[in-house]
Amino acid sequence: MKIKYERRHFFKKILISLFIFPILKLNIFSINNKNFKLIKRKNLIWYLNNND
Amino acid sequence: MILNELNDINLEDFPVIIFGSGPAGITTALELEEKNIKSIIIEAGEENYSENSQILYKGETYGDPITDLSTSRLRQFGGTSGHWGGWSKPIVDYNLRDWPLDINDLKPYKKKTAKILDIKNQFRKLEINQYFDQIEFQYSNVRFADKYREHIKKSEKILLILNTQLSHFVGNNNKIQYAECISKNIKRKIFSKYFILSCGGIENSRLLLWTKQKNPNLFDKKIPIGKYWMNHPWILGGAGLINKDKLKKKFGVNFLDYDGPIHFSVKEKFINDTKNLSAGIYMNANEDTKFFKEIIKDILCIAPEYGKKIAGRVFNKSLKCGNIFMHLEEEPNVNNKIVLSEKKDKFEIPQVKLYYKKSSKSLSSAKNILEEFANLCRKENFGRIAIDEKIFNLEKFESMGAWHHMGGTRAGISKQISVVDKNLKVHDIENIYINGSSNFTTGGYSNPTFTIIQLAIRLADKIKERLYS
Repeated sequence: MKIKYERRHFFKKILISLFIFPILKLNIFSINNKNFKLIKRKNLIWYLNNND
Repeated sequence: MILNELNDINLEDFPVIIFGSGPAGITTALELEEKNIKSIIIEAGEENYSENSQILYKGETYGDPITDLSTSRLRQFGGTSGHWGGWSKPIVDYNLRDWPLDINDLKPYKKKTAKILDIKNQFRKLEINQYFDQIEFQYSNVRFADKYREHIKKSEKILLILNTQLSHFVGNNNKIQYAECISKNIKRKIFSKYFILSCGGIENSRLLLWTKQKNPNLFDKKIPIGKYWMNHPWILGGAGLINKDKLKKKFGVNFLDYDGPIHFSVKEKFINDTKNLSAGIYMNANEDTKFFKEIIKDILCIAPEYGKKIAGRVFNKSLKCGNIFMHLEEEPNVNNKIVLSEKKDKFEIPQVKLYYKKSSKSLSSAKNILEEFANLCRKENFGRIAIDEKIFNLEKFESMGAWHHMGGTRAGISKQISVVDKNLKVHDIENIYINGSSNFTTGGYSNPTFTIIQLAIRLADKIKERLYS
């Protein structure tokens, strides 16, 4: 059951990155450290948690 | 009483002449009236707005772009209160650090100021963490001309004379003898015991500079009239989401929960620890729905897990979402200054030249403050904040408006770096006082009008002390 869930989740992520991100013209840069990440979208740099 | 021009009436009964009928001038006159002291208010403009009057506020600006000088202030009865936004909050104690007076000098006038501005005397704050407070503004609808027109008309202690331009003061031996005014093209001399210049954050410097030029021996040569001019750059710092429910959960009844904008400011500890300037952070009450949706869409893309949690709250009032604006403090800079132009207006008074360079320290402070705030929101799960990339690049940064004119006749102890003393009297001259935001030693982050009124009431106290001493 666990494997199935992870697989489904993996495909969901692939789908999002293949279709949704390009459609929304995602302009992204990412800085990760162990606590948080910075992601740039359009002219805004978002301060996010790693599990966001 | 209100007169439309200065005529031959006897002005000897009036020991105080106030130039300028904006919030500062009117407040001081009202306070003097309460103390049974007669005063005259001389207003250069007309009773209502007029293009012909307004055009006389033209000036040249050099350096970085700044809101046009003939639109950012009003030359009419009531002054700039005719179009101000009404945001009111007393200056905070740590913003008064370089002033010659402290918060205890202003506190006694807080209640009365709130009454004049028809607002609640309530400015609560909630400590969010060691670096941030949630703060409260009050919003005034007072237009001074509308509120006090009838009162002044009936008053026996206040005489308002419109359409009368102060040209300059004439004096010697550390004393002003008279003020030279122009009304209906006729020059007249006005004599009095005390003169109060109350014409706003640019005119106060202009008229004092012109007085200095006309009376070369009246002032100390080094007195920095017109210098250390400041503003409150109003910038778009970024965008974000604030979940009021999370704040309520953490702070309970102490959370300042009301419909309207949400405000935060940095605490003194942040200024001390990081050597930044102060700033206020502001989120609008209602953002437009399109922008709201944009933000949610963006969050769903870049932070899907968090996005899912908040997407269901899109229509919930507890979720504040939208642009984040900031009011920035600027450090006093001797090179930001008002000087007299070679061009003269129709009264033969030189126009102003304003030299202004935006402050890199203000912008780096804005970036550091927003970063700290963004990390606070992320760690405590109060929301998520994004910073506008322009804030990292000073050259691309544009202020959205510069409406608060401060400095130019700043208060202080040393004559080398200030024009007026603790009681707002010009250094070394016995009988001239300056009223208004041109006295601000530093600008702080709060909107200036509340502090202007407090200082204007206090000035009336100081005049009374001198008259009866």
